[in-house]
Amino acid sequence: MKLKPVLTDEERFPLLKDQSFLKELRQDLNGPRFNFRSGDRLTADNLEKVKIYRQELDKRRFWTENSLPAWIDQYLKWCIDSVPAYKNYSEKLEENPAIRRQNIATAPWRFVSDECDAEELLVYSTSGTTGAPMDVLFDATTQATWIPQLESILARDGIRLEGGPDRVSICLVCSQKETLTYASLSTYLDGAGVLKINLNPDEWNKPEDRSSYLEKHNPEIITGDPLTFMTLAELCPDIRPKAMISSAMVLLEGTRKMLEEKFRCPVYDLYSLTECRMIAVAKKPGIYRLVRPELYVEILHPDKDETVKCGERGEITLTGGNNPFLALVRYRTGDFATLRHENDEVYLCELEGRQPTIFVTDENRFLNNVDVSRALSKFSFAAFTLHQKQDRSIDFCGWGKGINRSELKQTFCELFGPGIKSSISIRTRHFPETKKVQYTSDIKKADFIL
Amino acid sequence: MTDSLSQLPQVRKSWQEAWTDAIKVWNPYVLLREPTWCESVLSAKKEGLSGSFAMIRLIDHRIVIDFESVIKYGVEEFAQQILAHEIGHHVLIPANRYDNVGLIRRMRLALAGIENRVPFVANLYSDIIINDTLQRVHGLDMAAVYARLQQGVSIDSPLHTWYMRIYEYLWGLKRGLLSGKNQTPAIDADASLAASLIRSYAREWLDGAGRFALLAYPYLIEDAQYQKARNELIRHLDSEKSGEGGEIAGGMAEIDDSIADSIVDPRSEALSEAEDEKDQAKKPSISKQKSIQGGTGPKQRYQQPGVYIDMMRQANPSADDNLLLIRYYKEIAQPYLVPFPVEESSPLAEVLPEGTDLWEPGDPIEELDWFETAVTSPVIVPGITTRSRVYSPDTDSSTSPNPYNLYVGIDCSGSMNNPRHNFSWPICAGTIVSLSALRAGAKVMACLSGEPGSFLETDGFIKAEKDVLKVLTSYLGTGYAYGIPRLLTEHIDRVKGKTHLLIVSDDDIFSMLQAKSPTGKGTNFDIAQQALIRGDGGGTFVLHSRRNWRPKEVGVLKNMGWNIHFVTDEKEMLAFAKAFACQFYDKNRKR
Amino acid sequence: MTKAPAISELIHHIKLCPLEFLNTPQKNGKNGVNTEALVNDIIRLIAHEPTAARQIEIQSKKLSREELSLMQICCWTLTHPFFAEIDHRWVFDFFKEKLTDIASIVKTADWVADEERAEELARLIMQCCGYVPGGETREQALDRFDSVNTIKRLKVLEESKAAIERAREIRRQMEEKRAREAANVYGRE
Repeated sequence: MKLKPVLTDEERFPLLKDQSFLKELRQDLNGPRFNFRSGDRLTADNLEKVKIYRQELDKRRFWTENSLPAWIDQYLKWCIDSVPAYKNYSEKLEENPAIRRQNIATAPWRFVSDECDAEELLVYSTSGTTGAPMDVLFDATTQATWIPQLESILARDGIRLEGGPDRVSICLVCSQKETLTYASLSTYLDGAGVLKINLNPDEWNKPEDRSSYLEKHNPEIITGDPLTFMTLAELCPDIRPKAMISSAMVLLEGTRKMLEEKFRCPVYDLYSLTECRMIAVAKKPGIYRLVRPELYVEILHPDKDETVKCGERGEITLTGGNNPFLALVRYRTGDFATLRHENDEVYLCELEGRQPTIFVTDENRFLNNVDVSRALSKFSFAAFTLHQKQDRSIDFCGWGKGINRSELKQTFCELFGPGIKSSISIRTRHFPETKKVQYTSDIKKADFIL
Repeated sequence: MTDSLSQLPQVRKSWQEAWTDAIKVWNPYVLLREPTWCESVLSAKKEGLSGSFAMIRLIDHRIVIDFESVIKYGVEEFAQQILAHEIGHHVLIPANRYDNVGLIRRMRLALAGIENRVPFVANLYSDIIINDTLQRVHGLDMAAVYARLQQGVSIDSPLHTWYMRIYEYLWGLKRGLLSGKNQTPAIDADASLAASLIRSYAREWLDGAGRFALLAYPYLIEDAQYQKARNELIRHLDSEKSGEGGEIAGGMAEIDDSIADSIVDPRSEALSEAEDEKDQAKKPSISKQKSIQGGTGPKQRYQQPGVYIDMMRQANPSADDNLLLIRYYKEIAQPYLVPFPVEESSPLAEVLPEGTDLWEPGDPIEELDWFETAVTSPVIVPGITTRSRVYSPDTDSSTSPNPYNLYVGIDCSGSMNNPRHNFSWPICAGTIVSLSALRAGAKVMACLSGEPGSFLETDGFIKAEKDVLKVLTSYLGTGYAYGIPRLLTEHIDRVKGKTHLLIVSDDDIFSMLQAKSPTGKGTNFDIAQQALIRGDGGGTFVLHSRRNWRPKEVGVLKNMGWNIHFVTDEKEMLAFAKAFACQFYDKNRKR
Repeated sequence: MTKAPAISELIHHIKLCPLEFLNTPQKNGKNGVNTEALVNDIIRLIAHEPTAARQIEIQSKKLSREELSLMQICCWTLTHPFFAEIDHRWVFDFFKEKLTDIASIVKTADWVADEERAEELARLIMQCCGYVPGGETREQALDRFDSVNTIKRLKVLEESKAAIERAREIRRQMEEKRAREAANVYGRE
């Protein structure tokens, strides 16, 4: 569906009187042909809430092993009282059934708290690349809290977002055939510029404008997905971001290293979902630190609504968050990981975007796809798919440049054993639209006899 | 299959015989063509019938019967009931395309957010009104037909249960005879309310439409539920597309306040009545309902164009979007147009009779041509035998003084609303000045431009209203302003007579004017100056901007001879357009 | 055993209620029907004790006009011959207890004008006198009464109404906002 811009700039930025920087970004001669308009829509009241959220993020502590967060009782009560979907829920978290994407997709209105003013509701329709299409409801406040969440991640590494009315703070870079692009401002960051751009040269007057525009505005933070970052690295604009935030699909270690070298800044791999925004962040492969103490994470058994033993693998399940338009109680994300507590922090480990896929070696041993990821991380793939057929042979397709094919073949041989046939194809163009590293297998648990 | 084939001639004969009786049920004077009898699903499909065994079409007063399905559903013995039911759609509800739109209009307000269910719910509502009238007023055994149709069908959808439960309430049938086994107290309560609604609004059925739809709402809110309900009830759907084909019903862009009063949830009515039946003031607040309508445009009297198009397409699924959009802006512009010239003996734009067209209830009464109507048929059936005269303006203006040609350039950049989705003041203004100019016999060139990026213009200066409006109601959404280089167009030099240039944009135009000219020499300011000289009929910038903004640049434009008209609120464009049209194109006014 | 009339027969009877029974009850000294006298007359009639003393006290001051009116309509209903054939003692509780709640939530005129309310009244009376309408089983009678029971219906509506309105409002907003610009997006999900 094609979105329509419907607001005036006054409605987009109720608190920002001076929008001259916005005009400058829009009318820049080297700028892209922006095809959309957007604002953060923050009123004084909203802004205050975002600021309070920022303070809360700093103050709140994470729950400890085998205990629930202190806020959970109150939160559940609030859900039972004000969210139609949870009307008949128990005040004990563990007694409640888990919900899935499908539950929300069929009736999103049931997850809106009665306290919400329906007028303030905003909708984001997910296309459904990872599941059924779904409307995610939120409001301007919830949306803007992405920035405090980012701030709290960066602050731990001593990085500060400065903002201010004459610089670009955040630039979301895309590399697609078609996507919405706009220049905007952030009220929370005192009128700092926010850009959403598409590296597709068709969107620019001259291809070289892409670099000049980025260089001219030198954003504090670059966000995007690994595929886009590969393209950006190739373009190699002379910019000095304070950090790069990768999300939407797993950032492989090779890509991260390459980016860090090129842009000389830390590159974060963010685990986030449309349903609740940020969840966890990784600076090292496979270990994601939870970033939000107000979002409780438990690991549930794949088949029953019970938590697995600490350290065991299961489905990441969420309760809480800060979106009253989509109140979550035991929401199964469809992603699998193990949970680990360490020094007052909580980590998601062995996080893979999908249900564990069964791979087997030539000696009929299970092969964890985490191991596959780890082994493949030394290659700078932007994306890949790996499929194992019933006859045990594997099909691999990777997107990336400068890949050593025989080294790759050797890696598969080490992983699966010399008895498994592999067919490998390496591509440098037409990156897949799918969002994550894809593991699939025709082998079912049942046909696998030890 | 062989069975049904051998039955066919028999069935056909009995149905043909039943036709006259079926008409008599309503009124022996009803004039309707005999139905189109189809002997197979396939041939019925060619007539536009699929899923059910019967359907109606308002435009040509058509009833289509599919005997193969009649036999399949085992209702061959109910010829009179079923035919009387179909006739009921023609004579009772929806009866004509005007009331059909009215029905859809009301249900759309009630089914806000799930408007795509409207034709379905309208069909169910029409059916139940007709059936109850036939059963209780005309003494036809409709219950038997429904008992047969419901035999052995699966009833999993709550809407299906609720709908059939209404019949059980209405006709005092045993629980579950039609509605299956899945009733709940809530379904019972809603069915009871619906039954009393059907009884109360059988005559004023338009007033009950919104209420009925509101009762149905919770059963259709989920997409999957709606699909299931539709699948289960498909054999009953005979009028979902009844408005297909035909003319666009007029006057539908404007909001009718009286409608809002009837969009009331019977649940609330029942509760508030019970709460204090002496104090009847407790009607659900109408002001709240009005906000749902969200009026826009002049005096906030109009629906959003997107809503208008959706609605008209539900009434007539084959209607053309572009024509509907043109119709929409034309309807809104109408009150602001300069009158047709009536000057002296000038033959200019004389209105000539062209022919006749169907006149339907709801069309302006003064358009009804009694003579033609009487010629058509001695018995007058509104909407069936009534004719209206169609006029067309004779725009031959060879002997009249030449009015200025009009060049309308409208900013269609990202800062402008898409006139298809949201009412657009600039496009409304553009429609008013363009139509006024055309009425006065002038030629018009329209250009939408959102640059850098794209533009769209008419093929030079033209007189075809539709082509001008087609350009105006399109949308680009690219760039940041009207592209001044568009004024380089050679049509300005080619067209006979003087041309006035009218540019509608916002304050971003100054960046555009300052930009380098694509000719390689100077800036776009120079193009603007040259265009004024070439047009020789003056020029006006209408800018949505603060007054006194960029005084220096404004001064430059003024010195060239441009008029600058600032509007701080887009709504002011309406007054501007009216005054502009009057100044340049009202021939009845002494200049 | 006396054969109970079919419910349709009783409904028909109720709908024939003469104007005298529908006149405004006497209350606070104003002119009108003396409900207490009427009720007692009817009891004497069905008890076959035409000269009995006052059997039931009805304090018109304390009762609502709607309840008094409903009592008058019930009086008419009880003129159906069936009620003179059965034990009459049930009417004391009936007039004392069974009408207060229902009278306050149904428009008086509806008892005779609306088909469904007439049925509700007929079924209420049959239930109170302990008979099953002719041609029905006890279960059917119970179910039919449930179906037209205003008190039950309103209870259900009260529970569902707010939730339905809320869902409708959100759904409407969703549809309106779905195709529109929302708010800045800062990162990919």
